[in-house]
Amino acid sequence: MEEPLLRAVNAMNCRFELALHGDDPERLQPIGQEALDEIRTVERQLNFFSPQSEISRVNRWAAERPVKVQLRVFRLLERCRTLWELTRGAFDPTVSPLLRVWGWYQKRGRIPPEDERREALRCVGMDLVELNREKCTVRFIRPDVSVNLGSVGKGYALDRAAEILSEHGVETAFLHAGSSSATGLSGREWPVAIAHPLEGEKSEIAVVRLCGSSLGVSGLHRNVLEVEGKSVGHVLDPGTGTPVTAILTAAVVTRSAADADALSTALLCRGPELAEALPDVDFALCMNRDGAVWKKTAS
Amino acid sequence: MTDRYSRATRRQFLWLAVTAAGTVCRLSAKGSREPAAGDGPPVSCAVIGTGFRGREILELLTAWEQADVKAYCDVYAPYLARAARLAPDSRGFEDYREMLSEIDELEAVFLTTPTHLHREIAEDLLRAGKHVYCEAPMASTIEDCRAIARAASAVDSVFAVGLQNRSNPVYEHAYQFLRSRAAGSPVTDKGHWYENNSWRRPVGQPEFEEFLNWKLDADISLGLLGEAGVHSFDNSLRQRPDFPVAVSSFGSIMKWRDGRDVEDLVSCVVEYADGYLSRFEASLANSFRQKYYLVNGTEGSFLLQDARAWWFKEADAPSLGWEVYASREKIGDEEGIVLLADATQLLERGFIPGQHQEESDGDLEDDPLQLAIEEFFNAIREGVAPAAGFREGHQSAAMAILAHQSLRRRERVEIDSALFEI
Repeated sequence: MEEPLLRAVNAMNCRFELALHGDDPERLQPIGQEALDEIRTVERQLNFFSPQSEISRVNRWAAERPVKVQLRVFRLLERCRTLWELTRGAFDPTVSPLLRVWGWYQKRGRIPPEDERREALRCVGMDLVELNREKCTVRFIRPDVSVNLGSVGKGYALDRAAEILSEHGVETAFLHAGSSSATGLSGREWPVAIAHPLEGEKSEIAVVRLCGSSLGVSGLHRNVLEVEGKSVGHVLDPGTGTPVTAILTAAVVTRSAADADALSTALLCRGPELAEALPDVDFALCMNRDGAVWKKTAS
Repeated sequence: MTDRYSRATRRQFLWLAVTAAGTVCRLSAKGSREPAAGDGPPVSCAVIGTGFRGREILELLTAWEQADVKAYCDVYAPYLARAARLAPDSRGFEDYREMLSEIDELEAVFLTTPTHLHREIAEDLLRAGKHVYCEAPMASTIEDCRAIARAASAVDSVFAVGLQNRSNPVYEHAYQFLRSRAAGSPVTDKGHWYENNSWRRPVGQPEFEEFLNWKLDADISLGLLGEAGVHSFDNSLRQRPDFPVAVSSFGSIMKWRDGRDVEDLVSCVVEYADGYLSRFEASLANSFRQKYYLVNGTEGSFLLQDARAWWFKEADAPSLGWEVYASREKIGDEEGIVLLADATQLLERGFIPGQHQEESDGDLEDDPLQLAIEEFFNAIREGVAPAAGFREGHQSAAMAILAHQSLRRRERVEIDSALFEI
């Protein structure tokens, strides 16, 4: 096979890379550019930390009145709602109040007092987010709710980029966002190793083959804060408001990269029991702190 | 023209500053205005040209209660299809004339076609009585610029040009400082525009190759000097009392050697009679620092990047007293005083900067493109001239065209100021 055309862009705090295969690199070049432009557009729309993003506009006003949003963002929010229901709340894009009281936004870890944690929990849950499809509006049922699509955004950006490629008839391509999300288009199989969370690239805990499918990997080990001498991961259980600790790494293969992203985060919270109940999942994996690995492959 | 922003004199500005406590220079107000839900009925509008920029505008309009998107138009079917996915409740057209005849009650049109196509469509839209928002540069020849400007001046409808910095409060705030001579006497300015981007569009239908990749054709495109430089030239013209006297441009193709004849690296120096130099540099081969505008004076410098601005004082510049309370940030080795988006609004609302920090939110909260479109809609409702109208559009485009001429001729071009007149 000829060498792929490689294009990359820094966005959403990671490096997105596309590997495009075809016999006409001159034709692939602008197609890859368009896909990268789409990733930058998604970043502008969803960046929780940019005051000018669409999501920030929602977070600013939706507690006061319904906010009309761009159709693509609305559809993503609807999908988040569906995933929240599917995972029984384990995937929840409204966990920001909890992240705040644990000190994540200030980058200074702390153990919040019980009353603070309970108050933050009252602001968590997609049932507090009212979506009106007819008017394409978002409303928060109470103040202090906010939506952060960080646990689904990278995958969603890959989905949008993949759409661009498919629109131009490029079917043999591999896209990834850092080391947490990847998509292999249907033109061939793409073997991807899931690295051992503690041993890194030296060893793998599984190899999956993507073909018209996507991989999402969530782990506790890379993004941690020091809290009273202990390392605490960035994933909080939306049900209890406390950091998840039992599962070290979770991975999901399904069709959409956004879904894979979200579901891998959900598995980190609830483990194999949740994975058994998820439909349309080609592969799921959980590794706990003892190193035990649970895997499930769709038959 | 109605001045949307209060123009505090230097003395008034400083009086308010020195009477405030705390971090006085963190001049800001609650950055985001109330959503304009109560500002009147929606403006019925359409977008002509649904390439990348046109779709960006279309998508923004669909999420805004103040806009009623009736239609969109493009001659290229795949772009039309993409627009349809963004605005499924609006009507799509291949021919803008058909759109004008079939859509009743269409007030405003956003013109986002290739630059060299602006003139004919703009003239038709103005003749039809539509308010027009025309992307910058306004046109690619002086003759076309003048024709559009004359057509716009002959009608009552609003003609706005997409020179977004003119409706960006961060820029307005910085210009207030400049006018108050906080930076001393101006020495030079620089616009920087770097992207790692080929500009080449994929083409599904070969007959559309030249049409879609017009930016890469030196016969019709103003290249980086026009499509990117126009904003920097406008920044510079805005703060000068005179027009430039000469321009020298340079350029080459350093990365994208794909058969194009439009440079992917350009550098330009604009000369003024008093020796002031305005510079612009752009590249498609590198993305370092992306986009910024810098003004240097004898007593300090202003840096504007994205939605933020900083003031860097020279060590021997006189102290203004209140600076000791100012919020500061390091940019490289330099420490700058943060100038935030809405100091003027804070003053207008009767708050004293520094004493009412709870009313403040430093960063601009609204997308600069949205601010520009809001300003356009307000101009329509209030019947006033927009911040960037046909005059500003003509002058900035004329400067871009002259810079481009210098590049094409590979020589310094002396400027006849009459070219800036309509």
